[in-house]
Parts: sequence; C-alpha cells; structure tokens
Amino acid sequence: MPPVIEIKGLTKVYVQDFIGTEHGRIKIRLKDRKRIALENLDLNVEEGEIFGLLGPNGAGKTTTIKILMGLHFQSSGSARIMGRELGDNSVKSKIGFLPENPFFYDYLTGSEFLRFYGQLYGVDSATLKRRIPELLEKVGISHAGDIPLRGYSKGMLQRIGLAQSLLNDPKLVILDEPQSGLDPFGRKEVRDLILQLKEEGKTVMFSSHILGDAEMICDRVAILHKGRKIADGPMSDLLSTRIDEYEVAMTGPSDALLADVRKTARRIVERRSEFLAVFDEETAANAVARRLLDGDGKLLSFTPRRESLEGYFIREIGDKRAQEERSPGA
Amino acid sequence: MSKIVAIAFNTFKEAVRNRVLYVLLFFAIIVLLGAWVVSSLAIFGADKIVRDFGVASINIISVLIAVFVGVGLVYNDLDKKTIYTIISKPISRWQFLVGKFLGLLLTIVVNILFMTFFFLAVLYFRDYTSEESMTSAIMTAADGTYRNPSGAETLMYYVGSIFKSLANSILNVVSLGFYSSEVTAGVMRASMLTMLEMTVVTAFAVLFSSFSSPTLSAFMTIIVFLVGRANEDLYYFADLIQRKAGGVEALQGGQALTYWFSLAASHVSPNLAVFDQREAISQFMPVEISAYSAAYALVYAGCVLAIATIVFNRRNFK
Ligand SMILES: Nc1ncnc2c1ncn2[C@@H]1O[C@H](COP(=O)(O)OP(=O)(O)O)[C@@H](O)[C@H]1O
Ligand SMILES: [Mg+2]
Repeated sequence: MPPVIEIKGLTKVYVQDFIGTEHGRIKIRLKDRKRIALENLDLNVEEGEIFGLLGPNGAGKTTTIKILMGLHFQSSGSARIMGRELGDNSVKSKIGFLPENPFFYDYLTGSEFLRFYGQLYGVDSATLKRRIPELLEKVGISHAGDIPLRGYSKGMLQRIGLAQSLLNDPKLVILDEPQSGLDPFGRKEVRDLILQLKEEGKTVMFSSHILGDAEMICDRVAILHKGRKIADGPMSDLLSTRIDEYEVAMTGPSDALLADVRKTARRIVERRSEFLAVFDEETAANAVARRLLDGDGKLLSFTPRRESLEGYFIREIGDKRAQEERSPGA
Repeated sequence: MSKIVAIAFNTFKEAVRNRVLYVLLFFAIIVLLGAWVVSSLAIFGADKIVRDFGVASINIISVLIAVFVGVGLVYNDLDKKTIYTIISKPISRWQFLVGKFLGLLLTIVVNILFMTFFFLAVLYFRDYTSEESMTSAIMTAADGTYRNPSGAETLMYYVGSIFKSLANSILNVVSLGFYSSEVTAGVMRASMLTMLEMTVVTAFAVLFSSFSSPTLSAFMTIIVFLVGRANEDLYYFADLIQRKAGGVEALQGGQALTYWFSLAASHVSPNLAVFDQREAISQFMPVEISAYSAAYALVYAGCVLAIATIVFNRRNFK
C-alpha cells in the first residue's frame, strides 16, 4: 500500500523581507535574511498508523505541516498526500487539520463555528446537524456549544479546534501540537482521542515537543532538530536499539559474588549494607541475579532500565550540538 | 459555490461587528441631517443643495466603509491565522477571496440601502413640512383664507408626516427608485450607481489587503478612488500638455514625464466617472443606469480579483 504521506527531500528556506516591521518599528535587514527551516526531509507516513513528529521548538515541525497543508510552499523537494499533489481539493476534503495555537472567529458560538467550517468542507446540513453535537461531546465541551468562542479558555479552543478537524470524518488527521495549552488531564484525553481515531481506521500525524505524550501512543516517530531529521522509526526500535542498562540491587552478597560483580558491572554503588550494580549486558545481570536467588545473597530488585525517548532525545541533540561546536560552520 | 456563500455570510457577520462601521453610519446620519439644516439657511436653491449634498455624502461614506472596514478583513484572517483552518479545507484561494469580496460588498450595499432610506425619509419629510405643503394641508380654511392651526393639529401633522415619509422611503428603495416623487427623483438610482462603483473600489480594497497592511491598503484604495474619479480629467490633462507643446515628440523633461504619467494613470485606473451622475441629480434630470456601467463594474472588479488571486496564490501564510 502506498504511504499516506510521502515526503522527499523537502527543504524550506525562509527569506525575510528586506524591509519589515518589528515591534511597530520599521526594520531594514541587510544580513541574515535567509533561514533554513527544513533541510532535505524524507518521511513516509503509512496508512492507519499514529505518527509523531517530534523535536524541540524551532525544529521545523510546524513548517513541515504548513507545507503539507498548502499554507507554505517548499523551496525544493516534494511531498504527496494520498498520492496526490499538495493543495488538491479532493485530498483536502479527506484531511482534518488542527494548527498550532489555533485562533478562530471569536464572535461565533461553538456550534455556529462548526457549522461554518462544515460548510467549507461541503458537508450537507443534515449530516452537520447530527455530527456537531457528537463532536462537541467527543472533545468534552458539549456544554459550550452555545457560548461564543471569545468566552472559551485556551483548552476549550484546543478542543473545538480538534472538533473542527473531524467534521468531515477525515481519513488523515494532522495535528500541530494538539496537547499544548492543556493540563495533564486534558493531555491524557487528547491521547485517548488520538488512539480512538486510530481505532476508527484513521491515520494520525501529530507534532509535539513534549515527548511523554508521544511515547505512549506513537507507532512511529521522526525526530527533527534544526530542520534536520536526526532519527526515525518505530518507537520500539528507537528505544531498544539504544543502550539499555540493567540495575540489580542486592544485600549481603558473598565475597566471591561481590568480586565477580566488580569485574562485570559498569558501575557499582555501595550504600550501607546495600549494593546497586549497573550492567550493560543482560546476560551478566541475569547471572548475578540467579546467583543471588540461589543463596549467594539477597536480591532486592532487578530493573531493566529502558532509556526513555526523552533521554534519547536529549542525548541525540546533545551529540549534534557537540559536533557543531567542534566544527563550526559545518 | 455554497462555500463562497458561507465565507461571504461569515464576512458580513464579521463586518457588521466592526465599530468603525457604526461610527461611519452615525457620521452619515449627522451629515444627512446637516444637509437639511444647511439648506434651510439658503436663500434659493435649497432643494438642489440638499440633494447634491446628500447624494455626495452617501457616496463618500460608502467609500470610507469600503476602505476602513474592507482593508482589515483579509488582513485579519492572515494576522490572526484564521486563514490556516480555512485554506486547509477543500476550498481554493480564489474562492476565499471572492467570498471575502462578496461579504464586504454585501455589507456596503446594506449600508448604502440604509443611508439612502434615511436620506429619502429626510427629503420626504422636508417636503411635507415645507411652507407650501403645510399651508395647503392645515393652514387653509374652507373658504380659502388663512387659519391658525391648533398645537395638537400641528403635532398630528408632523407625526403623520414622519410615518408617511418612512413609508414612501421604503417604497422608493424597494421599487429601486421607480416609485419616487419630484423631490426624491434620482436619489435611489444614484445610490445604485454608487453600489456599482463600490464593486470596483471593494475589489481594490481586497486586492491591497491581500498583500499589505491595513494602513497601506487604506491609503492605496483611497488613491485609486481619487485617481479613478479624476480618470477622464487626467486624460484631457495629458492631451492638453501634448497639444500645447505641439505634439508628443516635442515634449521634454518634466513635461514628458507628466504627460506619460497622466496618460498611464488614466488608462490603468478605473474610470469611476462612469458611475457619477451628480450632474443629472443637480439638474433634476433622470439618472440613468446603463448596461455599460453595470458591465464595466463587473468586468473591472473581476479583473482586479483575478490579479488578487494571482498575488494570493503565491503567498506563504505567516
Ligand atoms: N514565517 C517565517 N519566517 C521566517 N522564519 C520562520 C517562519 N516560520 C518559521 N520560521 C523559522 O523556521 C524554523 C522552524 O520553525 P517551526 O517550523 O515553526 O518549528 P517548530 O514548529 O518545530 O517549533 C525556526 O527557526 C523559525 O524561526
Ligand atoms: Mg511549531
């Protein structure tokens, strides 16, 4: 099956206006007018998966999404959605989109707003009549359908934004930072909603700079940093290929065992009568645990430490930064 | 089509919430009432002064609405990023622009209708309460001699005149000027011409606001309006320079520059004189709405919107 989103060599260079205004003052820019926001990005999103576009602020996530939605034009490279060129109306009618920090016409009530956007999707009014209350319910603001959007909190706007992205019962849903502005409870609800969308057979691509949100639900992720992709793949691959460590906590090991542990462990920490050993190798850790269970001491805990995406992320970007510092201008 | 209509109606909803609109309408009411007061001070030609002044005021206020309400509309969508969720729907950018244009035009047309209705009512009322009308209605006794009406009688007459004025004014507007009296002849027609003129001006407002800031757009739209009004004069001006110098070849330096600039401006700018019937209004002559003026407005506005679409299609939305 062809990928739902297919991005090849996508590059975006922002050229700032020669004369612009900044904080109400006219500013003339002679230097630094070009900024590479996205460099040679290759990416595929397959049907039915939840795809996370991750990276810190300024990584190029929003730029990628804006190009996909036809709001910005790429400098070079290409992208196709469902095998069609970007901006094709027949494709747009199968996509739901929530922009970053969305703002809507605040004089409309929640229901009026959804009706208006439903009309833009070309959804007939009978269907809208049924679907609007359903969607308000789904995003948890069914009480607010008759309130003008100007009375909505940031979290409610985010929710009505999610509702509008589902008006057309889309095949593909693209969400830019859907969890921003929500409290931990709201974040969980959005996670659940994304999982529900997947169950309904939709493909979901969303961006986040908060990895905890992505970690639990993404089938695959791509990690961007300064416009470049530094990793991508299934969540489990990204995590398991990274160095895992095994932590064995024990008390009263025999001298022989302790000597062996000192030889095989990467690190050993001693606190009163307790020892904490960290192993790189699973087999070495297992062997120590087995001997402890066989009476060579007492096993307190055995913890395989999977590196979290967060840690991975910090390390990868840290590496990149270090490299750049070593070879400036590269 | 239904998508364009949806955008147009939403734009209308947005525009009628703009405070500037109400300031301008309030201003229009003051000016139209002022026309009446000023004319009553005139020794002769009062009827002419009121009509000329009123028709010109409706025209100018319409331009101000097009400019000050219009230029913010597209810009706001870009500035507040509401455009993101609209353009990502299955809708083309030209449909968005045309929807905005129609919504703005609808706003202006509704306002012109309101101002015209109000002004017509003023004209009717002014007529009913003129000395001659009052004399024949309540100040003449059965035997043809003058009589002094009672206070209640006078009050009743005034109240009745208000209702009659409003009713006639509605009929006049609804019948598109076919139903009119001597004092109101041509006013509704002149307003309809203003609507056609605003079709062109609004298209420019949308064009400018699709790529520049509201202030700059407002400025440019006003320039286009002024140059458009002076369109024919510019042409004659250029011709005059050329004939004075004795032919195009004889033009030199600044003269040549003025000539080419005036000529170019007269060709590029819309000829808004097509919609100008001040002369006819002033002379109490019938105001004609030619098929040519209607076609001119539609074709010109269409071309401007086409250019706006070309500009807009290439934009990255910040
Ligand atoms: N309209 C723009 N003009 C100039 N530079 C921009 C524009 N939008 C984004 N950028 C720059 O491009 C880079 C990527 O931004 P963005 O895609 O918004 O990142 P993210 O969404 O991952 O936080 C940033 O360095 C940002 O400053
Ligand atoms: Mg972003």
